[in-house]
Amino acid sequence: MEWTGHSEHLTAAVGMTQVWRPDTTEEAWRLKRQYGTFASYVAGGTWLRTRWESGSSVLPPYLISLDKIAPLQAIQQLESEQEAVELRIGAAVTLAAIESHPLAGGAVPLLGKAVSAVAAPSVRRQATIGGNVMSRSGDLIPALLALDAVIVSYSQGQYERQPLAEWLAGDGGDCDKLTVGFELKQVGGSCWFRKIGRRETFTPSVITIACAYRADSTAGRLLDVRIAVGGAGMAPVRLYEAETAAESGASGASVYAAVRKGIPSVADDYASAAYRRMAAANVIAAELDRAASG
Amino acid sequence: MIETNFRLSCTVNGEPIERLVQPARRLLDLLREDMDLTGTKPGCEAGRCGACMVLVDGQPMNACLMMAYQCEGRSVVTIEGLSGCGQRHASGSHPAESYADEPHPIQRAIVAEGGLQCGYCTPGIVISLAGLYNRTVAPSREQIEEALSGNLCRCTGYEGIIRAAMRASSHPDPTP
Repeated sequence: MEWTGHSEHLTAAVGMTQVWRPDTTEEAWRLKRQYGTFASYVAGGTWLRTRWESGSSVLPPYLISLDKIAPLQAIQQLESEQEAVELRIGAAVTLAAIESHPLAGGAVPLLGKAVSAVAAPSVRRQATIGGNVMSRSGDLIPALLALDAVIVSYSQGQYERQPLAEWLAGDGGDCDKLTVGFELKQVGGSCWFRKIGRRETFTPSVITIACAYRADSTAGRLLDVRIAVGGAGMAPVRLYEAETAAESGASGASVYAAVRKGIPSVADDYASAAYRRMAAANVIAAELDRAASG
Repeated sequence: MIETNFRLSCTVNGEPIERLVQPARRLLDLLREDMDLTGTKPGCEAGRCGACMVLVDGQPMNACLMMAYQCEGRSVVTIEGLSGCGQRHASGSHPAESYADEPHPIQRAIVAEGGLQCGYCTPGIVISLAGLYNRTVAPSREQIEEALSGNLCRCTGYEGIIRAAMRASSHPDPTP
């Protein structure tokens, strides 16, 4: 199949990487179909660059830049009959843009806290929400999971919406889809976001925790508790059992045990699986206990 | 058939440039190897240490993470452009812009407060602080720490650098 679209085509010397800059989602998707595994979508490119530099992957012959596709750069408020704000955030929106946008980082505090905890300001000016999620280990994922975010993708003239949790449960092998954005709703109440690591910055977190809840001060209970965890090398997950335990007013020990049970067993050179479970359970049980006791 | 290179058009230290370049070439390599602007330092080359920080459209960015095509139509200012050296300063509203042929006030304040030792990270740190002062005339300590959160310094312990940043905002002339 020969490409006949209107993309801007930046060509380097023979044997070097070529960069396509399509104007539409359809064009980008067709280019990826044409070049297959010889091409990679790129937006900010910060995560890809670290992989190329470390040798984890190779700079492909073709890059398909998403930087000229307007809908992928936009943060839109969706029409909704509900009071809560519903948003669609384009996959190529930078983390800095989300951080400073009144409808994103402003109206959805858990997202705002998560975004401002990713890397340094200079990286956030270039890195995008799409890249963070497509890495399948980005620190935004726990926050998006807690917010029940939906991933919007494009393939063959069709847009498809899929819960992020469901997408994460897959193997990520569907290369025929282009992720174009994320939809999420504002969640009322309180929230917090923690990254636990060997030091404050410059290293991947050992465990990342996102939590949102509403406190019923008269009944001394927590409602609509949402807890999700992720971290280097660990598939991000929601901790549904721990959420139920916290909402039922179970003891701190029960919440602690439910968190430990829900954390995937993943170890690396810096943190054992037991340490990850213990650190997450300590933080989550303590924070929820504090919230419940007002 | 592949015959042509990408012609990058942008400004570097206020000067318009047009040159043939591989589109995926790192800005860091473009500056250091193609333009001999070696004040921008390679460090971790993964966006963590900040030694390669440059101002892009007035905002600090990591030159190791940016590709040439991403600089199209933008303004890039390196440490050489910031400190004068016969070239124009980046656009901005801070009074620092008036010192055309002298070191930037951040640089003078760093000297005054002993905010460097080996000096390797210093260009990146100066750029990060200059970017902050482009946006904020009198930043708080918290804002300074946030602005420096992408810069590693293994010598100073940061206190001298933070003192310098505070001095630059409180002294009209931060020269010792």
